[in-house]
Amino acid sequence: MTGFLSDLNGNLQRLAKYQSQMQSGRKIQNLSDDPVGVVSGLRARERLYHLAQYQRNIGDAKRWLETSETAATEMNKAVTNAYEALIDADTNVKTPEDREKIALVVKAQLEHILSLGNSTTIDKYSFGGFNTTSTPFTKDPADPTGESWLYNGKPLNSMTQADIDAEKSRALKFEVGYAMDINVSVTGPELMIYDSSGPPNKNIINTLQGLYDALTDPTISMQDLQPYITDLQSAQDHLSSVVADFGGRWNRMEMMEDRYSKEELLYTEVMSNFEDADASEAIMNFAMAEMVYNASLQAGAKVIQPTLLDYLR
Amino acid sequence: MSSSRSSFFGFEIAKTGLFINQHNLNVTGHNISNVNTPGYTRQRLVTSAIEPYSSIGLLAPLEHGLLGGGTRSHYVEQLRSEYLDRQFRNQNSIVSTWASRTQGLDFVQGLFREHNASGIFDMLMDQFSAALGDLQTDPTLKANRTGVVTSAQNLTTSFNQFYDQLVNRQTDNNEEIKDLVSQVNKYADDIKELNRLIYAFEINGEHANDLRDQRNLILDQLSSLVEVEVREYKDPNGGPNRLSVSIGSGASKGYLVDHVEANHLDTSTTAANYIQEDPTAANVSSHPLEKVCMITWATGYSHGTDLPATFPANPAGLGDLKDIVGNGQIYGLLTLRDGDSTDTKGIPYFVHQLDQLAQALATEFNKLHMQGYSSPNAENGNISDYGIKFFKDFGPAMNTVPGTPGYVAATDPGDPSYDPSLWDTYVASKVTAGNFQLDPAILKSAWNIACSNEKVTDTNQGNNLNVVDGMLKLFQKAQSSSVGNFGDFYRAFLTDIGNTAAFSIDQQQRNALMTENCDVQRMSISAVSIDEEMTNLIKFQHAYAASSRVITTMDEALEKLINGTGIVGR
Repeated sequence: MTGFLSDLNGNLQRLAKYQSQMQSGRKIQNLSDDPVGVVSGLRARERLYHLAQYQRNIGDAKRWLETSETAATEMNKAVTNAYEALIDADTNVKTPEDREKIALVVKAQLEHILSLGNSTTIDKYSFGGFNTTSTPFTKDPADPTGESWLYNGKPLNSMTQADIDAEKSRALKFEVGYAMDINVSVTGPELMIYDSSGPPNKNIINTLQGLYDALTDPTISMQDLQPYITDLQSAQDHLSSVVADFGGRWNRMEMMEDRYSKEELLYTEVMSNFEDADASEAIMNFAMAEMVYNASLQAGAKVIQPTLLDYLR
Repeated sequence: MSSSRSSFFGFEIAKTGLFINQHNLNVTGHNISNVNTPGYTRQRLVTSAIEPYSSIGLLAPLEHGLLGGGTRSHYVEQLRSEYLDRQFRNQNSIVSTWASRTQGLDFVQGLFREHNASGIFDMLMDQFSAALGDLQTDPTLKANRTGVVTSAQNLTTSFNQFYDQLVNRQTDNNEEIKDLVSQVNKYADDIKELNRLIYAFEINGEHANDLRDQRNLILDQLSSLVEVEVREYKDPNGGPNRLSVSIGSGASKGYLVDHVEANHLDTSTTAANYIQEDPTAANVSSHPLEKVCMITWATGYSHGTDLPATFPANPAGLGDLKDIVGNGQIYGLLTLRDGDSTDTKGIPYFVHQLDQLAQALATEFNKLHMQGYSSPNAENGNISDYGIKFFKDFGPAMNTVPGTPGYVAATDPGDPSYDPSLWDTYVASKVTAGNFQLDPAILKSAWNIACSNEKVTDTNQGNNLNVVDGMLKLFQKAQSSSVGNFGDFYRAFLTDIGNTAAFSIDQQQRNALMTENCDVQRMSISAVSIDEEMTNLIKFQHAYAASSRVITTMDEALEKLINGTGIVGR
């Protein structure tokens, strides 16, 4: 009798286990059921969390890269416009009025470039480095001509290579993988300064400003403007390489995103293998346990009921 | 004169048959009535044939052979095996140990059971690290900062809750132990009283079967609480057997009952709670927890006058309590209440694992956080400051003596002479799972989260990578703290709970099987089988009828002799 009851109880417990597996869809109900499985499932889940985080960061990083790239491309176009105007002037300028027109074109390009330098990704300045909330490129209030510019409060023209490197270390970075950070933009000096020898260095702003000043100065002949052509060419090269760099980083993000989505699939599968009950297996186990339970009930009923008493008159 | 020559001797023989069979029917009836009485042992009438009445010498009847005088009963005996009783009780003590352990561990693993529900510890850790990830991408957003504060608070709160639940469970265990000890004392009094009754009853040579059943039942129940050794020994005064019950093992083993003397256990003395007194971590000792009860022999311990005087030693500390109770439910609860080693994993052990994790989190996060600068905001007085703790440190006020608790390097992290290795020795002191919380500065304003390793100004909103990134990497590095990787440590902790519970369940089932086996064997001897009793009933009924028939036959024979032969004397 005692044996029968404990066997019956065991069968019932097995039945309950499979039943709860079917109800919850989860294989593991208690830590003690499969301590190693629980932990492997958790490890996969943690990995999935990190993957989701990286994917979010990659999304953000791509947004930053896209806006930065657009700004740099636009800037390149503006420099090209100025360059073309200058080449055109070299051959076609006849009158002071023509020269004034070209000067205005250059001025317009300069203003466009300055506004691009202060462009934002949503509401953060793209090229300010750690400074994301206040305008990175500002006029130097100390200069009465209004032709000197400050980057994050520091004079742009007098920046040396060491200064550029110092600013470079303040570039915005996102974590897109374990111990894998990516610069989501470039800092202003990196963007603007194409020749750090000097001082003053050569940057896009002071080059265009200088060109404008020269064009509006009638004492300077068109021949003397020749050096600006080479300067604008190197500025173009510089911006092209910046754009290409953005493109390269963007592609890398794409590739990583692709890899992460594959990894995500893999870890989801791993997690599911450890944690989720296989529906068909659970149903089969349940049916088997049910059968055994019913059989033991029937056998029990047969064994317990009759005694000699039943056969005595 | 030979009795076999008596005319009415046959009546006498038949009469004994009637009496004995009637008596047997009564015994069978008693058995059937008690078929469902707990602890009842099958009884049987011990009978023997009456040997022939014969005298020695010339008067001995020689011509008819010797004839017995029917049957007689001696006593009613119990069918019980003391060997199986002993085996059953030993097994019962062991299985009770594991059963109570399993029950407690079930509670613990229930606390940490991983479902896809919110509020689970592991997910909270992940959410915290996710919030840090968001903060890293933009430390100027207040929403990101608040997200970190909230998720960190969820984490600390869940530490506190786990701690509280485990401590409450421990308190419950302590109360349960007290209750069970008083139960043991009650059993001691019961057994003492039964000993007295049985002795008084049996002094006449009778067998106090039903009282013995009661006593055996109590002994079985006692064996589930403590480890018992039962001894029945000869009365030195020549009376019936006496019974002694000793409990425990080792130096504190002593007599709970000896004949009509009972001793009691006492739970009034207390000892420091193991959760509070963590021997492994020196600076985890700030829990104001209630002490737990000891188990000692009550004063006035008396052994029976007839046994060698061995006064048991009381257990010296919580670790020696097994000596006084041995295996059994009480010991199972003791292992849960006091278990603090890898050998005996109990609630203090699991709490200390959580303590270690909380302390490691506080230490590592504070270490990084104090080297960063907060963001100036109206909420924190527009100051970008360093040396702010993220989690609350309960140690002494900050000091600048390296290698001492609460040590904080006084150097400004922005200073060129700044040496980050000064922080290597920092330990967040007296942090436990119970008091784990955010630093008041962080709770005051989320802008006090120090994300930057440079002073935050209008044109420098701060480095988004160095400090927060360091914190994020803590979750991923293999060796990020004194406990290794947080996630790995927590998962190992879960495996530990799972394995401990699984082992306990296995042990319980295995021992339950053996206990059951003993019980089945015992039952096959002692239990009442209706089939057998019915067979006996028929047997005795027929024997009774046959004895009646003997009387009728005798009667007919005498009838012929007295009324049917001759007329002499009429």
